[in-house]
Amino acid sequence: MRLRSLSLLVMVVLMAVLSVSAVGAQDAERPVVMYSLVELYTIDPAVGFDQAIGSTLKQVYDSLFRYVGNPPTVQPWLADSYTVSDDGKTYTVALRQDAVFQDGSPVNADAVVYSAERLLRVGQGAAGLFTGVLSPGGTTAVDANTVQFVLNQPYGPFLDILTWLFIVNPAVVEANKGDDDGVTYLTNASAGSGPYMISNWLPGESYEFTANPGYWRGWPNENYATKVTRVVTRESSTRRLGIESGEADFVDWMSVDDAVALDGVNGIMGAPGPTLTVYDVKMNTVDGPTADVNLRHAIAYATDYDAMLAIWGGRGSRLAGPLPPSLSGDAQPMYNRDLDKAREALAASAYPDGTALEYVYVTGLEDERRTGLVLQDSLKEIGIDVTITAVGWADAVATFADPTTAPDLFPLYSGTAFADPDNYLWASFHSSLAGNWTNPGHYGNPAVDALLEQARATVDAATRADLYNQAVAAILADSPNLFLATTPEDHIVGPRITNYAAVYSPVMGSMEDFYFFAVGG
Amino acid sequence: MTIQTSFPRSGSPPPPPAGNKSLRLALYRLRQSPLSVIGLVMVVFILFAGVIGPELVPFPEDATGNTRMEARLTAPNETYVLGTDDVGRDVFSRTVIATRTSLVISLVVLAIAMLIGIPLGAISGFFGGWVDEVIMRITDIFLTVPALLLAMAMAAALGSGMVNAMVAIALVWWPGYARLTRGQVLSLREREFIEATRALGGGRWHTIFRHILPNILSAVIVKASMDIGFAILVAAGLGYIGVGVQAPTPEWGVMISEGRGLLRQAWWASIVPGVAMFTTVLGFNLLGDGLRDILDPKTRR
Amino acid sequence: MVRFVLQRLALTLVVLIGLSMLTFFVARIIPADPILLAAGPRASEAQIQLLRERYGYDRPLVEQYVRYMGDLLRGDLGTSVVLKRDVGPDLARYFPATLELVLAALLIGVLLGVPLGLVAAVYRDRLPDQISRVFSLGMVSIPNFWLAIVLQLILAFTLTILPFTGRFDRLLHPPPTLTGMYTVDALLTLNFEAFGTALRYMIAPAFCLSLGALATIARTVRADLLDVLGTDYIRTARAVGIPTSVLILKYALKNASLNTLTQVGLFFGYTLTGSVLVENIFSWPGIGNYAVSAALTKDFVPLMGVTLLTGFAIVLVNIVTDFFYLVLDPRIKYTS
Repeated sequence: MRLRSLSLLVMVVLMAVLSVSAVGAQDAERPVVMYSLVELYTIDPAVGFDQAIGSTLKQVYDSLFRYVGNPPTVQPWLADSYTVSDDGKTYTVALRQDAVFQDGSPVNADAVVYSAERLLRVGQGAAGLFTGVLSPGGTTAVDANTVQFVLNQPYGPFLDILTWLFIVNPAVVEANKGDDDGVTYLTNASAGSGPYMISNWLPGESYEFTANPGYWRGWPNENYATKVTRVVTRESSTRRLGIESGEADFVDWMSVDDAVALDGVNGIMGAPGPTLTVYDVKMNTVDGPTADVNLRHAIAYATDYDAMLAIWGGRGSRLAGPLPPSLSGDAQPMYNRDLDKAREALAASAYPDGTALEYVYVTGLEDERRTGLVLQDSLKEIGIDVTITAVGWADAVATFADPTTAPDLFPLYSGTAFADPDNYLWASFHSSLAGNWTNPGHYGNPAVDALLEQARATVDAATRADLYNQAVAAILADSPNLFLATTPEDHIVGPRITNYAAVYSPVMGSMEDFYFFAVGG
Repeated sequence: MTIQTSFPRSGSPPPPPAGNKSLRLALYRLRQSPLSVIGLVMVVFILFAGVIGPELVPFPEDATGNTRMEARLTAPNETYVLGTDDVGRDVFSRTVIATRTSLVISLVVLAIAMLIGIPLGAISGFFGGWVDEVIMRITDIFLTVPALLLAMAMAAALGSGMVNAMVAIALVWWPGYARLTRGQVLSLREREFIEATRALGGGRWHTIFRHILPNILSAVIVKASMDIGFAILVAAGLGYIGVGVQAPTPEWGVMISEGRGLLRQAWWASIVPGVAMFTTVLGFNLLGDGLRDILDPKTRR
Repeated sequence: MVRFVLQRLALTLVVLIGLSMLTFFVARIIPADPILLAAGPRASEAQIQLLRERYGYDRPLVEQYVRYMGDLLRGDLGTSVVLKRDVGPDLARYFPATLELVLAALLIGVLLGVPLGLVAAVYRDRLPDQISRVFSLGMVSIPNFWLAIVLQLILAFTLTILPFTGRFDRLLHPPPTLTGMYTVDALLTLNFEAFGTALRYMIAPAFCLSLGALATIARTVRADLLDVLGTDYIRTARAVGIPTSVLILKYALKNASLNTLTQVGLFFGYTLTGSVLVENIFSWPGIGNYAVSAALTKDFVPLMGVTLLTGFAIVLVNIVTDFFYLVLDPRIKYTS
């Protein structure tokens, strides 16, 4: 009996091993598997708003405009053409006539109006991008295929934020409206016109999408991905093992140490740069020692930027200021390590003998932990003691609201929902967002506010660029942040995806644009 | 459910009070048990490492905020005998210094747990009736709480940090001592010398403090000696999740967690502190196991 | 006996209510505001207020507790503010995974612990006994999360004979859900291939989790056997010439099984709690992992659900253990 069950066990294990190896040689389909750190808690375009959800939204929905390429450019998608009025407040968009929802009904102006109104009504996620720009009732259907947006005020990057207005099928949403405007229904169901359909949805585990071969726009590659499976894989080591073994074709949130180790091995490659991600340490400009501008200067001069860059193993590059290199041009860093200047600034501050500061970072983010340790070491040189505290993201956000509870020093990655200086500067430095997670240090400067407001309402590109240059100079003088690095992309691609370098786009929600992927082997 | 901290023996009538005269006997028994001697040697070595180790390590500054980015993830060599971690700190120095952290945490946790548990258990056992009922139900509730979950929730609520972690662990630890004490008191209460004290007019509190508590000491010592190791493990678990000791203080759980993502580039960063922790806990367990044999004659055969 | 059972159930109720209050109030002194997190970075004051009302966070704490308990009695465990999902179905999905792991760990504990104790008892005070003792103590001295990491390094990375994390091949469909425990479901549907796959994923985490039970069972079995071997009837039997091996297998082990059963019952709770870290390291989709992410995001509704469910399971198993004890050992009488 014992022997028999043992041999049965051995047999079973053998069979399992064999079956696992058989999976590799599957059918003529071209499935793509992604191991992703993050869960998709919803794909309702009126609720979800992050990197993973953004890219998934593009699979099942279409928007009027879409970001393509690097540097990213806004391309018409559902839109055919558009015009802007002279005052910059009225956008008239003509729709393509051939676009259809997945149930076959046409994507028309009414659907766009419905989607815009629903986004503002539900008021979560991407609705924040439209706050103060577009109000309920501002979107109207001129005719069946023409939509008009009347803005509250001129807004330069309006087409950019339209990339976040995904068009839902009003008939489907109305049929499943419930008491919450269809939010519950759309959590895991799609009502879109996109190239993929949901074929399996296991919350917290995996999400499977099957290509619609008759997608109205057609496919850019013959060998497009016929099936996309996002498998939630919280362990970074498992994601790494997945791409090494070929189980996964695409992984996200890989550490730089892993990326360096993997790059070039068996056709595995990291995403090409440059990215639009900036990494800063925000200082509390209202309360505590860092409210003293001289102390902030001392910190900026004492920081060991080279040691900081070592965190990214030579793959990050120094930031000149608040904007990523592709938006800041060839500007040079204003602050470099100079302990004499640092001591000078410290002597001019209210804390000539040094002081104690608290650095708060988000539990589990290793780069941020290392940043804290390097900062601690750097500032020791000028007599500033730094304590390092890890807190959950929710805790951190809760402390931001009040400057007295907001941390002295807080590291922050900023990606971008749209590639325009407004996205960075407004969110991080306009006083109206003080206490928001994008401006935890409560920075506010009336001169900067005025420049940003003026730039936002300016349509002429050259004038806007000049206004932003002035704003950046004013911000640098105030030294509210340590502008550390633009960080490398954390996506790693396996050899089966053959064209990632060509289609990569660094905007949030575009790094996983499976529609453009060509799949080999 | 509390952490099971001792191996059950046959039946479990509590040990009789240990008298001082048995010291020579105890030493004799200790010599008879080579494993306990090994445990004792390990514990002495660990205490040595915890007390003066931090003064002897090659890079004491690596425990107080020094970084060495140019030397990060260096494999073991002559300078860094057990390699460096992800910001270039000496793993050997930090592992040794972490011994002190862990010892302090576990001793404080046990002290708090005893301060809560022993009086409650003594009161419960001595007074009986509804007092006993209420205290035991409270103990039941805490015993049902998943220990690590409560500690996690508490540490999350109170904020991360060494002090909060200690309080959180102690709060799920005391019921063990309450139960042990109550059991001891119940069996002692009916014994002749207590009856005699009462007959002679000794007050209740007088009886508890003068006669009962000293008599349960040996049972508590045995439990505590086994518990030190387990307290170290739980504290390291909290550190591992990220709700324990904060940087740059070296602590084994934190070190393992920090090194884990780099297992394939730098195995030493998480393996070394794990070995140190294992050795420490094993040392205390060997000693505790031996102590019980010595102090609890029931288990001698 | 009916009275005993009723009494136990009444006490259980008291304990469970106490547990729910403890968890609820601990969870709610958390300073972070889950609503802020759920609303997202760009939500306006009005939207936040709306959410606060929807989840009932604007009511006084006591009222929230009463409402929570009311919902609980109707089988509604509330909605996670962060995940925006009902907790009940989540627990139903994750709990079988944890239960499977815990049962497997206890099984390993028995399968390895009993022989270990047996050997120790037979060779009392000789080398095998000492080895068994060191081994048992070693097992409980290893931090199980660290052992998990070491096993991963050796078995998954270096030897690549076991999968690294997870519960089932990520690209295959698990067996149909009957009990939610993959190995059991696979056997029930006679799908041996799936059984093998599920087993490969389970073995390392289950082993890491089994250490405490394994060591304690070994020591219990040893002590029990020595007890029984010292009794008069065994001595007599020995004197008449019945071989020791027969005595052990026929009488002593039978007696020891009762205590072993109690240990398994006691260790159910310990193992269930201990699974938190192991699940986290092996990415095992159970309630422990669910609880860790809830704790890190201050999402108190799932955390309460897990704590209550775990507490309930522990209490239930304790009652069942007592009951078995009562049935199996006629010597024990329960009186009030």
